[in-house]
Amino acid sequence: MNAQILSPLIIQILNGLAFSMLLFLLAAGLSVIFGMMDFINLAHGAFYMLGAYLGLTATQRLGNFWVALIVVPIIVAALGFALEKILLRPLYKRGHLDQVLLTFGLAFVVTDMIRWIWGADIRSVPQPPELTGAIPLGITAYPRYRGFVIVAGLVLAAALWAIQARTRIGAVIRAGVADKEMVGGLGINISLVFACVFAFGVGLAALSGVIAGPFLSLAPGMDAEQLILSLIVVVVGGMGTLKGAFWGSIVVGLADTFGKIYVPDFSLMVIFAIMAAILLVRPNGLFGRAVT
Amino acid sequence: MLQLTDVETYYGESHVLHGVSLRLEPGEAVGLLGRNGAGKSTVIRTIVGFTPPRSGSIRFFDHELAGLPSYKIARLGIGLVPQGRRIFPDLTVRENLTLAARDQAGGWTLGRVMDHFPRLRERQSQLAGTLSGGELQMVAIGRALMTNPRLLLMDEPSEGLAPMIVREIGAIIAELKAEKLSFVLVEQNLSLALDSVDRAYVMNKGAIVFEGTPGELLADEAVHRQYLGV
Repeated sequence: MNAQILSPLIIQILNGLAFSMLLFLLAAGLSVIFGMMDFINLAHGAFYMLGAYLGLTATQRLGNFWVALIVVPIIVAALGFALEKILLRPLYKRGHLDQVLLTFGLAFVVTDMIRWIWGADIRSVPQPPELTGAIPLGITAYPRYRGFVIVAGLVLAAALWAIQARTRIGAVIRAGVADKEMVGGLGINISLVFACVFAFGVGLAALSGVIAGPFLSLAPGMDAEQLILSLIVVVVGGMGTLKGAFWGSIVVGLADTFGKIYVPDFSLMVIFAIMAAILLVRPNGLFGRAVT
Repeated sequence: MLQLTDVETYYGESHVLHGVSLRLEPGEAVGLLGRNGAGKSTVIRTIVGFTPPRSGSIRFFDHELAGLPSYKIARLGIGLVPQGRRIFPDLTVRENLTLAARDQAGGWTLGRVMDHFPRLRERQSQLAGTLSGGELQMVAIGRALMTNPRLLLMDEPSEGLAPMIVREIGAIIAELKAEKLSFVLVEQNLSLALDSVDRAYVMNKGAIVFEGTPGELLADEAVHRQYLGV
């Protein structure tokens, strides 16, 4: 193959991976929250969007993207911690329908507040000066910022994996996904653990939003699109596993990117077709455990 | 140290425990016997707070347990070996044991648990999901001991195990008894239970129908036939 065919292909694969990393940060929290508490958080996309807009303002006010990258997820995580305690905790024992209704409503409240504060115009976050330009890749070149997104996503995935697999809190979370009542019966305050996991997951969604800012554009509706894709990631990868969230994100991110190029009118359908095919072969997703 | 008084427990609308009262003194081993569905496991679930009682009282030393969340009950010193073992399959054997470890001077440590269960030492880095039934039961007992309980609740530790493994579990329970650990043992296996306890309660339809020593229970043909025979 010559460079004329190869280089657009490489660029699209990299674009797909960069998008996959944004999805992964969203789906990781969604999946563990679902796996552990059997809780469907449809407000997850709204926290992603909130992260993106707060990132915009923080970058403009502070003049520094990197500070925004640290501060915004912490603020949103704190908000998530409070919301979990006040609004969501009473719903764990109720059915999925109640959870869906409340979190969907919460998503509307958050996104309408964003529209009220920031307006409905399409906005974009300036790239940090360190990451403008392109990385030479031999036969082609790739935007430096998107390269950063891929590397940051991989580093975060590795860090999350290490936390889940190697630390005590990771063991508590894995145990909680399997049998949360029993974890409580051993003297661990599982409600507090879950509040922390929820806050952390929401913080990751906000981090995904901040990172997305200089890469995608900010507009009303960005939350719903990303929420749907990350829900598909959770289904494809299997609930409650980081590994599933990671590989599910790669599959969905690449499928979305290539679908939009080759069959732009049917790109979402391509993703659903892949999801259906995976579920036919593996009903619990790629790495999911049988749901009881 | 443990005193249940007139405990009534429901699963949703279905009334499962009807005025259960029982007690346990420090250092005592008490059996809870009866047929399937008699309510034995519900007594255990009620004590640990998984299915809190609707009325009645559960005293543990100076604390009232009814209404406390289960993690607080566990922290007061109640260790649980649950029915069905409920080992975390995605954790290694060592992680299962250390997850809930609460250190205490002179108490149970990972080393001491593994001295009791040498097989767990061999398998400590293995995922618990790959263990045999007998090994899982050892993890369940070891995991409860690692919380350094003042009272151990064991819910059918012999369930589903081969006779040889049941004897092994029986030997472990005998060791715990020799160490003066207080425990409640729920069992269908009558001989295992009566060999292990100082006193036994027999349950039927969610109520206590007999209380006595193993000798008294063995002598009482009627109780035997009515509530324990198959």
